[in-house]
Amino acid sequence: MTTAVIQAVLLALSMAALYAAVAAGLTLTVGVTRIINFAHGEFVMLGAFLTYWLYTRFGLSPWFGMAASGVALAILSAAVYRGFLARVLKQDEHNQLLATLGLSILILNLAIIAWSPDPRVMQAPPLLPTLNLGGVTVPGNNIAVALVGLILFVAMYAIRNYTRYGTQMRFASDDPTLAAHAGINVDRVFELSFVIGGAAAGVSGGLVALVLYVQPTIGVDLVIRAFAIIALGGLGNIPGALIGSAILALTEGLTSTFVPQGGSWGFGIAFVILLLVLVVRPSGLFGKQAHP
Amino acid sequence: MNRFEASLERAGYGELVVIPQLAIQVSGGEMLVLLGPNGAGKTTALKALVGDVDVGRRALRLDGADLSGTPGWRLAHAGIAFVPDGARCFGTATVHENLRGAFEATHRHADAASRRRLFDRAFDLFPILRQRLDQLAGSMSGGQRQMLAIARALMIQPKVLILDEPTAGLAPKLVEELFEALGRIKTTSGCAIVMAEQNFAAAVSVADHCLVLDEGRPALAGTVEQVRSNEKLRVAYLGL
Ligand SMILES: Nc1ncnc2c1ncn2[C@@H]1O[C@H](COP(=O)(O)OP(=O)(O)OP(=O)(O)O)[C@@H](O)[C@H]1O
Ligand SMILES: [Mg+2]
Repeated sequence: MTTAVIQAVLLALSMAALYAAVAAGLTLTVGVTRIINFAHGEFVMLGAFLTYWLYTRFGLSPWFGMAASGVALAILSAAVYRGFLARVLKQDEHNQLLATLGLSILILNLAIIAWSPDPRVMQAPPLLPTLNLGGVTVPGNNIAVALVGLILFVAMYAIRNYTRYGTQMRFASDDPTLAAHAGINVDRVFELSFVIGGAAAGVSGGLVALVLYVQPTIGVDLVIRAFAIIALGGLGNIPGALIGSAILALTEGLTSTFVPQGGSWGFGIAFVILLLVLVVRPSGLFGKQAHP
Repeated sequence: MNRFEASLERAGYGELVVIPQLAIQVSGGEMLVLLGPNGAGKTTALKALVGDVDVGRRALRLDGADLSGTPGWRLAHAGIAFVPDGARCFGTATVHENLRGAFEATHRHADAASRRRLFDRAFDLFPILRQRLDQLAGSMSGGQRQMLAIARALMIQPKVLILDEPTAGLAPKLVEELFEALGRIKTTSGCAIVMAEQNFAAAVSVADHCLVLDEGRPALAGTVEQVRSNEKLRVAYLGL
């Protein structure tokens, strides 16, 4: 029984890292630009497909697939930002929401038309050896996901807090006009944060291909969780999002494993927790008010 | 030498023209004070200089270089620093990050020596900042934030410093200290200062030139002495 629990917890933590990876890029972008980017999930989905095709068509390692997805989605994000979002940013929030929601639905439907709605499984050989600790086994791909997810997360945190561009991002989101007076090109800084968020989405798409299935609607499932995680952690609070991911993945994972027919319950219970937290602490668990 | 010349036409908000026409000149080591009652258009005029409000025409020259078409954020790189009213700071960043971020935004390959020098200069003018380096700017008092706002502007090594009512809401002692600091900035850094102010009596201690705005129009201009000695205008516009 205890090994079963430990096993379930470890697998849930690897899912937490995956959720955190998806949320990491989103929380950077949302925290800086305030654009609620619904299409982030579709960026993740595109990264998953790219990693999948690179492996199944060309036999390229998913390590390479993740990196390539990161670059590809960074480029797509730059195009989306310049061609489209930069204009919408100057309009009111409703328009921004509708714009990114529209983009999300557009990409999703194009993907369904092009690739069919059916799920695919990558079946790549494990990237890392399986971990075996006294009867508890953790598949190598889950370890890889946990590692890459954490690295991605720490990278987002470090960029925001310890680089000159990170400081400029925080200035630009605090007070864009004042940031411009300080010599910061706010539009470029917003674009940069959007591009970095897009790259993170691409890499986390590669993680999705490793441990989940590859399917056009996978992005929707993940982005809903990412928004829940951001709400749990507090908007723009990157460490808070990490803990939010763990809470979400653990409740989901443990419910699926130990409650009869829990597979269908897990997602729902996780959101009940989210709703409760939001009622008690509207600014998230780690709640300094995110934007005073 | 830092000679700054600017002229504006039709500055305002959409259809509403607040400043029909205005020209200002100020040289390095001098301060021009922009006076006028509430709603006279001081803030609008200053914002128009840095491109924050709508203008029909804007011409800016700094040491002969034409900066008329320069977008707002680039003006800081050209040496024009603007300190808006309300002691605005980046509230979720620390004092240190506020200063360092402003330095880094305008100095490409930041050399530690000039950063050190600028930090020392800021601490020299406003010693309290040294003690509060790790405090979040948003949690500081209004007076401290105003000092930080000015110090932050100095981190870009400005040739022209534009300030909007830096002493609004401050206690008399602090007003005196702040003007004293601005006087030192003016004489030691050689930058040209344009400052909006309501309090003529306090501003004359540091100002050299004076421009009075009345409902968006320049009503009176000259050296501080000239304006002070012109009793009729002084009474009419300054209530002194
Ligand atoms: N955002 C705005 N939209 C429309 N009108 C504005 C705006 N801001 C200021 N005004 C108007 O422009 C005029 C000049 O205002 P401004 O703020 O420039 O005056 P001021 O001299 O700075 O006054 P104060 O000493 O109170 O700061 C006022 O009539 C004001 O109502
Ligand atoms: Mg004003």
